[in-house]
Order: sequence, then structure tokens, then C-alpha cells
Amino acid sequence: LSKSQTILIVDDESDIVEPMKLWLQKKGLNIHTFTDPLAALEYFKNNSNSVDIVLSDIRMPRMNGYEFARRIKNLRSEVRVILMSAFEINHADMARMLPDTKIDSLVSKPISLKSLTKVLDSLPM
Amino acid sequence: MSIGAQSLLSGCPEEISSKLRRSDIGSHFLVEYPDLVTLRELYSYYIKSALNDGGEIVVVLPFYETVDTVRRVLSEDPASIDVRKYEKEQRLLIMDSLKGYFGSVDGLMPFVKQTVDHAKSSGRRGVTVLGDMGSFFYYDKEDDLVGWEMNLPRKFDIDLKGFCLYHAHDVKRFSAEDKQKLFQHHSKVVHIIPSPLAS
Repeated sequence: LSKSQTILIVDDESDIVEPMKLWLQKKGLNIHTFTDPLAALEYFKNNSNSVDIVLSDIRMPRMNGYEFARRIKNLRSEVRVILMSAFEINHADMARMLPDTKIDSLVSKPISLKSLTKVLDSLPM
Repeated sequence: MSIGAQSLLSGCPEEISSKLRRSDIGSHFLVEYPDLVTLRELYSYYIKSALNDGGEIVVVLPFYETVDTVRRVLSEDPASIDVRKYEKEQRLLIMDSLKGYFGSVDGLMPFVKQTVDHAKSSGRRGVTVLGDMGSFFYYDKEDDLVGWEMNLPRKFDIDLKGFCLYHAHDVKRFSAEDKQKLFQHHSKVVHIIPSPLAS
């Protein structure tokens, strides 16, 4: 994970995104956080070339994480997408909602900040 | 959009909780919440009162938070209730909204009716269901949701209070026509305003 990378984080709970933002900023990464997936999508539409990784919650009001991930990948397929959830991931739901979209990693919440860093480090370039 | 001023309630979580507690048996309200912090405050006050003072059975169906998170929230201030004890006594039933609404082919109502019968036979005053409708949006089933709501009566004729919880962002997903239909179908529409001291 190089210091110049930019990560977009979206989770409807600000208590989740703020510690992640502070931790990853300390690591030298550029972090943009959103609690509204539509606002995050709008940001991505205007800045897709500058975002390297997208980290998104699954259960969010207005747009679920699967739909959000699908739209992100449709805009720029090379961006790496990580989905996170406090719930057991339902793989049948995921396959049905994302039939043709590759998700790069799935993480369970709560996740420690150290573990999150490991997940980010392990993403394929 | 006019929904009839007589059917609209708004206030902070503690005020709304008191109003919901005082509402008639049979009430079927639409409750719109702005965020999880505010919703947690509302159900904490409501459930504490319904279990401690009211002798009711409460069914909670969260969607944007886990069952364990609801348990934790209820065990902390302001509810500070013995969650394990109430669950063991089957006076507090917490179930993921996805399982509640979509876990069986017959949907939620047979379970709710069974719980109302159990409340009656065990000398309880009735049942409150606090159900987050977010699970319908998760599956993109807004039309089914409108159909589900329209099939429920405007007022229940059993010992049940049903509070349909909608995140404000999900309400925005309805067409103006569906929103009006839904609002008019509930006996009251409730808007919760965040407490001034909420973090």
C-alpha cells in the first residue's frame, strides 16, 4: 500500500468512518469519507481517476453496498472495491445482486484498524 | 405534500417515545427517523417503559444495525435494562428485519399474531412491534413494501401496536404518489428530530 494512494470510504455511521479516516491519514494515505452512498458515488463520478480503493458498508439507507459497488465498477472497473459488514455476508444475495462484478475483498465489522491495514496491504495491485 | 395536519407528530426521541407509549392499542404508525443515533434513543426510551412499566411484549426488527448492537444499546443508558432476562422471559424479541420480513413465505404477520396470542395467555398487556422497513429497500422491493403496508389495516383489531420504522433516506426513494399513499394509510406519521444533546 503506497502512501500516495487514495481511498474512498462510505458507511452510514460516522462513528465507523471517522476513526478509519484518522488512522489511514496517519499512514499517509489520502482519505475521502462519506455517510451517504449517493454523495460518495457523485464524488467518484467526478474523481474516478484519482481513487485507488473503495471501501463500502453493505447495509446502508438510500443504496445498498452491492448496488454502490456495481456502479463504481461500471464507472471504472480497475478500482479495487472492498465491502464490509457487521452482518454475516449472504453469498447468495451477493451473487444475485452482483452477478458480473468482482469484489476484491470482504471484511467483517468491527475490524481493528491494524487488521484493516493488513486487508488494504493484501489487495492485488 | 399534505398528509393532514391531525395525523402528523414530531419531536425529539424522548417526547415521541412518550407519545407512542400513550397511543391507543391498535395504533399503526409510520415513524421516520433521521439517523441511527436518534432511532436508538427512541427505542431505548420506548422499550424501557414498555417492559418495566407496561408489562408488554416488544418485538424489535432492526435492519441497519445488528441484533447484538440492539442488545448492547438497550443494556446501556438511557434504557439500562437486563436484556438477557427479558429475552429469556420472551418479553423482548429481537430479530434481524431481513429474517423477520423475508425469512418465511408467509411473512411476519403469523409470527406477530402468535406473539399477541401468547401475550394474552400470559397476562401481558399486548405487543409492540418496532420494525425497520429497510430490508425491503435492500432487496429493491419498494413496490412490495407499499403492497405489504396497504394490506395491513390502518388500525389493528388485536392487542398490537405496530410502528413501521423508515430511515429518512429510504423515504426519499418512494415516488411522490407512493409516499402519499403510505402516509395516508398509517393512522399517524411521526418525524423524530435529533435530541439537541445527541452526539
